[in-house]
Amino acid sequence: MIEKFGWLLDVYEDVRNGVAVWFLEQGGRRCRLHQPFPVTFYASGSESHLHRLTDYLASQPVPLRLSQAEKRDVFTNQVLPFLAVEVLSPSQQPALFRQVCRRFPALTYGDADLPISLRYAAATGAFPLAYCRIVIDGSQRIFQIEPLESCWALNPSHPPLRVISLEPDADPGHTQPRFLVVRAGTRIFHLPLPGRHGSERPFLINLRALLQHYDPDLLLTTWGDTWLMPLLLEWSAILPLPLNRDDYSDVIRRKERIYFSYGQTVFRGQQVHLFGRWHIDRCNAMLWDDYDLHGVLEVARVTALPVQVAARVSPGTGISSIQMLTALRQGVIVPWQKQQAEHLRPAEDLFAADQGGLVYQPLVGLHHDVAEIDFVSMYPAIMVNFNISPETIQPPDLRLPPVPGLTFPVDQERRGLVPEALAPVLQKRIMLKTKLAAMRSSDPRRKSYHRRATALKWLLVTCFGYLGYKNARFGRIEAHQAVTAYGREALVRAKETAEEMGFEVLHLYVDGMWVRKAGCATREAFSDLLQEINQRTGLPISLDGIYRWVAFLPSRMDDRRPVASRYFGVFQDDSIKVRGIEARRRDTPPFIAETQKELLELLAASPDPFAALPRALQRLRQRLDELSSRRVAVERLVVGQKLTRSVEAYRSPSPAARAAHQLQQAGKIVRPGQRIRFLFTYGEPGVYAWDLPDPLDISLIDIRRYRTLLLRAASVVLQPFGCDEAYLLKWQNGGASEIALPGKLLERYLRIRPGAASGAGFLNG
Amino acid sequence: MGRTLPSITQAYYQELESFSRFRRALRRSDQLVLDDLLTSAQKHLAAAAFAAHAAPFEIFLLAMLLEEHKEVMRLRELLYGEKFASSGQVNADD
Amino acid sequence: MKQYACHVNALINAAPVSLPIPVNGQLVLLITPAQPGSMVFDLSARLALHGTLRVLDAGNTFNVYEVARVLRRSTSAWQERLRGIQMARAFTCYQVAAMLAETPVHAAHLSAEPNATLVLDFLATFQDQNVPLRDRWRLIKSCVKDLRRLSRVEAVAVWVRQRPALPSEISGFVAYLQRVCDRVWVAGEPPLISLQPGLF
Repeated sequence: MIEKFGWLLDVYEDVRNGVAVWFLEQGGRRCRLHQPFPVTFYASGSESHLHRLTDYLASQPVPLRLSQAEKRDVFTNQVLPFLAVEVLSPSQQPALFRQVCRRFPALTYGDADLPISLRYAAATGAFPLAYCRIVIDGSQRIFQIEPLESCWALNPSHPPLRVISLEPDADPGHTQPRFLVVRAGTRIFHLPLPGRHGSERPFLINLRALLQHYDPDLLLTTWGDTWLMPLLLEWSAILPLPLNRDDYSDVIRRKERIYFSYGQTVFRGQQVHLFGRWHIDRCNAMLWDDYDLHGVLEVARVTALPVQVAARVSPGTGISSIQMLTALRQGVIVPWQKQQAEHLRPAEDLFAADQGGLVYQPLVGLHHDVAEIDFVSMYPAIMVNFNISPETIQPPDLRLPPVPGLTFPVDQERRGLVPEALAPVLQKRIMLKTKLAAMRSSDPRRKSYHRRATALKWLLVTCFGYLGYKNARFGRIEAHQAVTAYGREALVRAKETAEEMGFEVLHLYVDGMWVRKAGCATREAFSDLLQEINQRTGLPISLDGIYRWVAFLPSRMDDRRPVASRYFGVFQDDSIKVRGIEARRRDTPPFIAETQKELLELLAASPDPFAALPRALQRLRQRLDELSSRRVAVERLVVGQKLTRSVEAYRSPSPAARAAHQLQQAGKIVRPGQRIRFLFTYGEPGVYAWDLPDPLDISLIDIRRYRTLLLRAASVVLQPFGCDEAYLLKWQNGGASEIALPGKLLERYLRIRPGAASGAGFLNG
Repeated sequence: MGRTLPSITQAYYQELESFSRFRRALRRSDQLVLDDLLTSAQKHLAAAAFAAHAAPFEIFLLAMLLEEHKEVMRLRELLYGEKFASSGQVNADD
Repeated sequence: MKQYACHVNALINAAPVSLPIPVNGQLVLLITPAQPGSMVFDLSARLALHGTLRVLDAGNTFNVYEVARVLRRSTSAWQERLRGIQMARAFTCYQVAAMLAETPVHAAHLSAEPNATLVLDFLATFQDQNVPLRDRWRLIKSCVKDLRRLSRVEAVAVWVRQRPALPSEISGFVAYLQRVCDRVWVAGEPPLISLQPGLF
């Protein structure tokens, strides 16, 4: 027996027996080990049904062991008897289970379709990327594995991963790439791709040499899932590439999918997973832009999902994984299908219970020295602090205080499964954020901490929605309702506290509040308020920042109407926060988004934003001129709108639909959920799809339309300072060569309090 | 995602729908005044939601009245000074 | 089991009034156009006015504001009648079957009032292509068993929407329901609601 130290890289079913375990030894050797690992699923139901199941299983060629077991059911909180089916070879379990549930659909099943890495982590404590001590024999069989760190460690160990990055020199959806840029360590290689008639062999020989020389743990690609990998797999008939390290397994390909989620059509490209190495496609990795590799590895650690899966799945799957892991560890059965419907309740309960967060209307206009204070991860904090879980919801009981505003209480005696699963995630995120706040900007750990905190944030953000999700295994509507009820109560208490302490409340939004008080412009001035709110609500709350000024915007349709989430402002540290306007939207052309940002930055840079107006208008004039004289690079005018349904399904086609139609005519495939890029052009159909093979005659670009869009975007930012769209139109045509002075602005927009309810752009202070 | 009850904003528009015939029969100038009145209720949708009332229109009416009264207080203040802004202070003989 | 289809223009004058508390119970199938206007909420209100009502919402469609509005027009004791409505929701076909299996028979002898159970948009969740067809058939049959169990003691009405381009499997479900229910009411197009422009 040999003892070794190193990192667990991957665990998957070994078709021959047990599981394959890829291990990165302390010394740098990567090895494929194996371990016997029987997996068990459970069945319950009527005696006769179970009897027939037993007979059926006995007749199957799959080696298995049957026994009686007792498992806890989370919903009824009872320990119930189950038939335990232990399958000796884990690779045979999924197919067997599929057969079983098809033949015996009326039985209830548990622990039936769990990812092997989850089962492994629950059984051994070893999670992906964990630093472990193992004991193996000469045939590479693992006898013992012991994790030496926790997945919640603030500073996890760093396996020395070898990463090769593969990226084409052009977007394959737009033009044919000519090179594949390969980055390995500090070296960069440009491999020429075979042209239309060229031979693939030279390219493949070069790539194979690089793969063999560097033997990477991770292939990080751009457009890998949808373009590069399928191409390489196709060409491997010409020359086989060592894409997998594992000779016993084939590369996995998953088909592309379109699904509908929370009102949005989501398009997921096809996927290519490797064995023995990881393949992550930046373009197909969920939330890559937000948290990149650091975040992906963090997700893999805390969810126990394999790295390639962790990179691609939505945070909802991640949270579900954490819950299942917690259930496995506690001996709670993981239900196969969510069967529970809501219990019968008085319909009038809906009025109070069936609601979301409180969304107020802000006091429209410009305000100075405003503090934004937010509850920290409010919904997860509520779930953890008030012990909200599917099984802790109780029927109405006169002896127990109900959830505020509702009719039923939450059991505080027994720790719920969901809070148990969430608490470490929440705690770790809070710790990372606390450390980040105290870190110097030059600290090398900043990036890693920030990315990991973001990854955890996404998991937390999803767990609340998951509580109410119809397919969530550990979901329950009443629990979801309890969370939002506590949230509403907490926000109203926060408001009351602020008002009692003399603050003016400018805006409230689900879990955050904007307040101001004359004379309060430093962090210390708000600390008593934060403490008092924390005291009265039992929830952590923090000061997000103090704005030098912030402008709450009216609705685009009707400027008497405020809108809850369109605003922008400058913090005391000069950083700008923007919500809901063009610069934040993904469909805005870069030129317009950048100009809007520029104007904002000009206003923010000066201590008195009004003084910066002439400069801002000057810049706007410059940009308009650039546009009119066609000096703006065409790429910066590209609009990127999502196609929400199939092209045929539109009754009156949106611009994106019209552009998608053009792409279809050119032989390209378009799918709902895809972002379609196009330019606005004169005449019909008024758009030109960006990815069409023939370049556009740029004189056809509808400059007028872009001017209008630019002015509108500019007016959004300038309007709180008196320059609304009407003013800008006059100014554009040369009508107003002077800026309205603050005095004139007062004349136009001033309202005297307390009737200062409507009206845009009034001054404060 | 399990939300069956219309949101307070949806409930607001549904209530307005039930007054569409009344509005239609009004003179244009009166329609504009009605629109202004009805818009003012939108400022208090969050509080209306929190109220969890089975008949939200009663809350919307209260919200409209609230905004009207704000105007009255503001005008009183302009006319008579701050002391007289709230009810019960102004006397016809003053 | 006698069945007949009855075409009515406004459901208000039809089924609910003639849904008695039968000794042997009756299972009624109500088929309306995809957008039934306020027909179903009117029906719910009428049922709540005359007795206690249980709503099993299988399509996330129970607008309780609307029902409250109709009740207020009918009686000053509207809040009390509203309180008599009980409700449960199911969001997948598995949950619909579980919901019906868990629904107890109304303890009729405890209440002097008539009891009714109304199942809303019953087939909504059965359109999920992710659930194998054979499973959906198994679940529907299980639902019908429970519906018959409930209808022995009280009045049970099941509402389904007739969509113009129904996938063939759904028409199959509707045909099956028509066979197993005691009565089938088919509502015609509701009166045009209004041609008025919206307020804003």
